Amino acid sequence: MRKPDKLPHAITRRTFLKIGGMSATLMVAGRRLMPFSVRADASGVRRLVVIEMNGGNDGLNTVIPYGDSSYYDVRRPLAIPPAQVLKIDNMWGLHNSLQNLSKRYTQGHVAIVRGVGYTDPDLSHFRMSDLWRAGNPDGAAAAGNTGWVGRMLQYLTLSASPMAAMSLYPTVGPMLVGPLGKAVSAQSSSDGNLNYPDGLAGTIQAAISGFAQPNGADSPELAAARQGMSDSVVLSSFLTQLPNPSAGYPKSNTANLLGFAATVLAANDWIRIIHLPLPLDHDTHADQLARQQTNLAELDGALEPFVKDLQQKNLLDQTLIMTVSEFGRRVQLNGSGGTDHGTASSHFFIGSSVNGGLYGDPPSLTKLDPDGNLVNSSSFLDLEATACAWMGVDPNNVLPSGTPYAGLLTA
Amino acid sequence: MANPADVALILSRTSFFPTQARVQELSAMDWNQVVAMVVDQAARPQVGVPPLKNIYLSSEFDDYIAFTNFEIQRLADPSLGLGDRMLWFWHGLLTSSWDKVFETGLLVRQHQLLAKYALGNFRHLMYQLTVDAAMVFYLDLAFSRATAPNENYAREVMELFMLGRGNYTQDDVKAAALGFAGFTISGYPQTGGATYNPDNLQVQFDGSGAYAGPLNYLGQSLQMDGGRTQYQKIIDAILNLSPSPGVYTCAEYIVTRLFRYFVHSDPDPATITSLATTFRNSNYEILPVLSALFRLPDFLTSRGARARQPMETILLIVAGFGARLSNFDFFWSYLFVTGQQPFNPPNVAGWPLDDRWLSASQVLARANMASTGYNGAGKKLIKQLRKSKDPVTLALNAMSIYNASDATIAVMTQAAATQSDPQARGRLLLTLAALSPEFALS
Repeated sequence: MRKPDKLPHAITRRTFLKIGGMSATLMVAGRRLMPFSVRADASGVRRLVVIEMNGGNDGLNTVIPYGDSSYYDVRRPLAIPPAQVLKIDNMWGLHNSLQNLSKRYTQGHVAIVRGVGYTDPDLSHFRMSDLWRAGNPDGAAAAGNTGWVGRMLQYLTLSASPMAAMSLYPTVGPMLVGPLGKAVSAQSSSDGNLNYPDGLAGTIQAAISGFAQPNGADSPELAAARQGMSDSVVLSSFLTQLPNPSAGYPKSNTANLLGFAATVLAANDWIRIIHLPLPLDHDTHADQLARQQTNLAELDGALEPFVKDLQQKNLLDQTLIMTVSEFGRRVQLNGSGGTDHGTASSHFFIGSSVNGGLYGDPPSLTKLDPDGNLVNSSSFLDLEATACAWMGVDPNNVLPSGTPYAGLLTA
Repeated sequence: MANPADVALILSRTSFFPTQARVQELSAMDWNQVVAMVVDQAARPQVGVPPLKNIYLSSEFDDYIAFTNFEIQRLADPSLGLGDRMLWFWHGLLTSSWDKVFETGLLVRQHQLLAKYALGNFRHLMYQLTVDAAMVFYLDLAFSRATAPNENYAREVMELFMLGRGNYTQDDVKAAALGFAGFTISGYPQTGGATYNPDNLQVQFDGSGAYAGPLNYLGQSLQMDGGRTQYQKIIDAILNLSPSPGVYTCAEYIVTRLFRYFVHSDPDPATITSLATTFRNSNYEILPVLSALFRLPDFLTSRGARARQPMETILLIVAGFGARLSNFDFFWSYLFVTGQQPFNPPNVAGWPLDDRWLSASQVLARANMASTGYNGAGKKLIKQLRKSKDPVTLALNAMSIYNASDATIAVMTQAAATQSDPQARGRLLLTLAALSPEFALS
């Protein structure tokens, strides 16, 4: 019996705490650090939210060519019946779980790019994630072990803060690694709480500040260690001063993270890019119908309040949300009610600054590549180039190649 | 009499749990004797296993936590040394992860395999690892047939495990994939919820899925007979590559990884050539390389050259406070939050040795562990600190920090002066030593 290929899913702290029965150690209400002003203008600078759908989301059942009979020929019984598809036009529609997104689409806030992949596709999660995150066809090792967002930071006019990009994950994602550093990780404001021994908060904080002072005699490693301490003071202060997420989010891991993200973006102009690896497993080798239903419902249910929240905070006009995923899935189903690793897929750009609509030539469902997979019409580099252009950065500074999708952004 | 700073250095590199008592014990010896004892005479690691629930598809997380906790507790032992550091070096290089393999029993088996060869023969380690069930599943050999070869293991065994990028071609990947094809894993229970014995999950060879015929691989002409052990020819072919100027072979790759893990990140090419020659000439025995490595002049000048990874950090904090691991009952969440979950590396590349472990979130997590140590500090150590004329230095030494910067000493001295109670002073000094920037570096 073949066991389904399981895939890394981010165990969020909440799930972990529920399961392990461990005490909420790092969530213990702690003491605030010394006052640290975070009042700075949150508006006017552009933000990017990169939603990483790890595992390889099946694009074919997400953005559905229900008007193409070959979709039903090749995908039955995994195909979504026409009656369930949320129709965009005569040919295309969205998975029925994407109720909010389809309404947003009618408002012109959603650009859908079909056929995104890579000319020399690989079917390994690790390999393709590496390529997408590095923004390089040969992976991070060919890009000095940096990610495309990490490199992009160099070309932005950043605040004076040591933080410019944030992964909503226990650690900073490879996508954010770059020559400037300036990437941090956090999943909630309570990550900044520190449970100092009674009465010693002030003394220890003063010591940390002392430790963090740069020193001419330091070796490069010691200097880096001091820098981390200095940054930790800033991060902790930033996090502990964040308000609670707004009301209006459902109770899901994704919604918790997006609610937190909105508070981060609203606090000031420090964090320009948010990276959210979804706490969902998109690697649907088995049981695809049910799993994708749940996954997309959680994403849709969290995205809508997030967009509304940004609107209320006057941030929507400056924010672009995008999805990425290392690959799509095979056209044909496998023997376990699912699909195996594939190639081209569809991705979303969401915001009030997109020209909503369908982009990208959709791959043929019958003329496949020699492995029987969809042939891409554009590259992940084009997707990332579009994000660079949004942020006002020349994509050629960041990526070896890639062209923004013409007309997708309003400015 | 060896210099205690040097002893502390070699202990903090070769042990997860370097205590002051052990530093003092070894400082009574001559340095050459210390190196001989700690390196040449290092003992083979012994992997213990707690009882696991082994309920198919439903107890996997519980079993994973149980094995991880058990292993961390096992490592909190000053008598363990280089064998266990090497075990974890191999685990971080020849990766598999719980969240794909999913059966803890298979990870246990792989860990025991790595332990067996931790200080032993690398060729035989790679033979056995290729057909280890956890690895077969993790890198998809379980689904690889000659008619549809899966390239994942073929690529990673060269790219990450043995040669490094750029030292093979895509054609080599395809050829290796053919050479490795024909294995699967049998014995999975038919339904979830059933109790099962992981020993029943065995790697099987199916000749009808194997490739027979000639193979042009890494510039060598191999003849594959379609038999069960032909995968060894692929491993042998990798090890048969001859060194030439500017071309890395497996020996250079492995000794470079060892140098970076145990010494510092910028090895001199002549050093690498020399260590690689030792490795090759010993027919890929690890111990002669280690014996040479720790005797390099580079080693003794490398104090503070590498960032500690979270597993090292948490265990050193426990050792340094003279505390028990049970005082830190959320050490697992520390490892989770800092991104070094044992048996669950984020990807095949394992846990890189770089500055990421010095970053802001890492410091916050360490601050919480250091604060926990405040109350858990050992009574004997507190007493020593109370009586000491130089408690700042004693606290630093307890945390394996020798030659701290003047700035760190000044900060700690100033903080100590705020505490009139000598016990509180001692505890605070230990906490600050664990928080110091020097602590983050080994």
